[in-house]
Amino acid sequence: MPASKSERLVNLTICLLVSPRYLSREQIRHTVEGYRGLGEAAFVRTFERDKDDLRAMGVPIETGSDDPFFEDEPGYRIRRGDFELPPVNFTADELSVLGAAARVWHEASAAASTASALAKLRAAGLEPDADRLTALEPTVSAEGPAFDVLWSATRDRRVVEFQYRGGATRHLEPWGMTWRSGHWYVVGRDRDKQETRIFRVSRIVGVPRASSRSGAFEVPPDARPAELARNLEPGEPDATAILAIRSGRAPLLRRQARSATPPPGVTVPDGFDVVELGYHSALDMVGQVCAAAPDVLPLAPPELCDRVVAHLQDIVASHAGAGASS
Amino acid sequence: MSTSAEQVGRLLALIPFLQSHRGASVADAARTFGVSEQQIIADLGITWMCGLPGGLPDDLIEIDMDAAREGGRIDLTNADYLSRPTRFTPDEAMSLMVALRVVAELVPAALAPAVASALAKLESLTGDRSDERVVIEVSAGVDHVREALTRAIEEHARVRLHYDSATRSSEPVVDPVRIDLRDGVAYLEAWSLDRGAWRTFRIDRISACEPTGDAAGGHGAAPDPEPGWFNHLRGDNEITLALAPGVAWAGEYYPTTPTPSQLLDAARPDEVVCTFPVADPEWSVGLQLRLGARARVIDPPHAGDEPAQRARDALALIESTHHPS
Repeated sequence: MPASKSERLVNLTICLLVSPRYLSREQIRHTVEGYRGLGEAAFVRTFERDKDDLRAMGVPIETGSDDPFFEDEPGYRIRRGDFELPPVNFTADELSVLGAAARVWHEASAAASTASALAKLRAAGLEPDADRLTALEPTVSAEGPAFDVLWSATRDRRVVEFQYRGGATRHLEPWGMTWRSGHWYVVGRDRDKQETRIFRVSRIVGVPRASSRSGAFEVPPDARPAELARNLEPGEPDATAILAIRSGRAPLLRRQARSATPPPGVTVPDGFDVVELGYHSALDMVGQVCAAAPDVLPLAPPELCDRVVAHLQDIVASHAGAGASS
Repeated sequence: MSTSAEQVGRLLALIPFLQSHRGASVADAARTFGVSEQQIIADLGITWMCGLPGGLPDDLIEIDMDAAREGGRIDLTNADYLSRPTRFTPDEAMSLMVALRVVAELVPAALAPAVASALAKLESLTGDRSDERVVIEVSAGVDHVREALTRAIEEHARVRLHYDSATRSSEPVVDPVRIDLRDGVAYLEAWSLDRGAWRTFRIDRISACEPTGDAAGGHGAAPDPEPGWFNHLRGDNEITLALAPGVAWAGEYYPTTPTPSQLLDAARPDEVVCTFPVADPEWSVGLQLRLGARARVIDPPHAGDEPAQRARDALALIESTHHPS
């Protein structure tokens, strides 16, 4: 019964916390109400499980002995200093950012864990202030069954195994997680491929499984997920595009650009300004220019112009092929 | 975690909470612990049976159960030995610290030191920075814009935005009410005076924001920022595209809505059919121009006309740059 089990666990905690000495199993059996009336075997089984449950909750049950001559009969106690939240104080500003932090997670175990952390602060007499930064809704989504497993495996340094996009089963040492553009990624060492890899969490098929004990690997100190995630960024610009932009249009592209002079032999249509900007991926540059057609025109380099022209011609041809009216 | 593990974890915080909040209401306790009031009453029923070893009446935690059940007030005594909550579990520490770092991305610069010092204090409580294994990247625009918006919201002031969309700039006058973070992008929720409606603006596209000198008007409640948030952005329009390999990324990158089943049959075997909500027709045209011929229009049937026309116009202009007229 959950009710009587909860009662027994709280009483066991209190008993071990207030005892000035280690208590033997037999002493605990006679002291804690919930164990009386159990046979020897049932008691040992129940006590072992209770001890594990409390430790899993973070209650630090220590094993030891006050008497060095009876080391083979261990005793148990909880040291108050290890058990209690240490003294702490927060300023009004700190309490208001903590109040806003309460609204970040809406799902997954992270939401419940944040709520219980803040409840502990309130229990310690500190009031996170939810009324000050009300204009902020700093939500991070963490939906999907894979998230919780990866989150706790990352925290506990446990190996996870999962299926990725229909491929073979991966075995990953999760070093870190990254949230960018609204997607979660897990970064780590792929044990099968023996290299650093990054996986998008939403593309994991089914629910990953933690397949090792905690602390099964070390995260290399030089392998910060922030740096690995930077591999997702477009590379440094290594080419320069010269573009014509119609006055007052395409402000986002214009923001990244500098004004420039037209390449030799090129006539700039009336009402267009000439700018230049660096790029790394020609594919992305073609996409940006075409998205703003006909307010943005490529002037150089010739390869960029050719690709933009081919891209636009394909659009015209496929539209005609679809039999749509023009 | 099992029900009793959750309950015991809560009880070990509830008992000190009720001592630091003498006479707390059942409702406040329920809110603090994120459970129902009935659950709090059930928790009290268990707490009442707990206490010092010995089991004599004086040893037990005392709670006036009638006052709690009928008056909604909780008076708990005789539990001095449980007057402080337990330490944070590793998951509590990591979840709260990552949440704080998200808040750091949005708060006015004046509060940045408070986030840093709160993080340092939490670290001193746990000795743990496993939150640093989690990296949060947010696109929230520039500090001075966010500051100006936050101030305007707090002071209920009307502002003029300098807003850059992909195709052109505008200067909408708005009454800002909230800054939302959705999918890693910070948005301003504001009443647009030009449109006479609630509008959502990407903050990284606002280059400046200045008060008009007027006070904001009352416009009722802004749309709910909860899941399904982009419904109000959607308007009535959608576009359904069949995406060939190479452009299928668009279906994962942009928000999509379920595709009406009769449109699914139009796909060829290697294509993915996706339906995108369209708040601004310009966005839909730009998306088609960017994706090119590998994205086929399924519905509405004539959605491809405008992009094709713009492609023809652009080709003519590009031609003219090489053959001066």
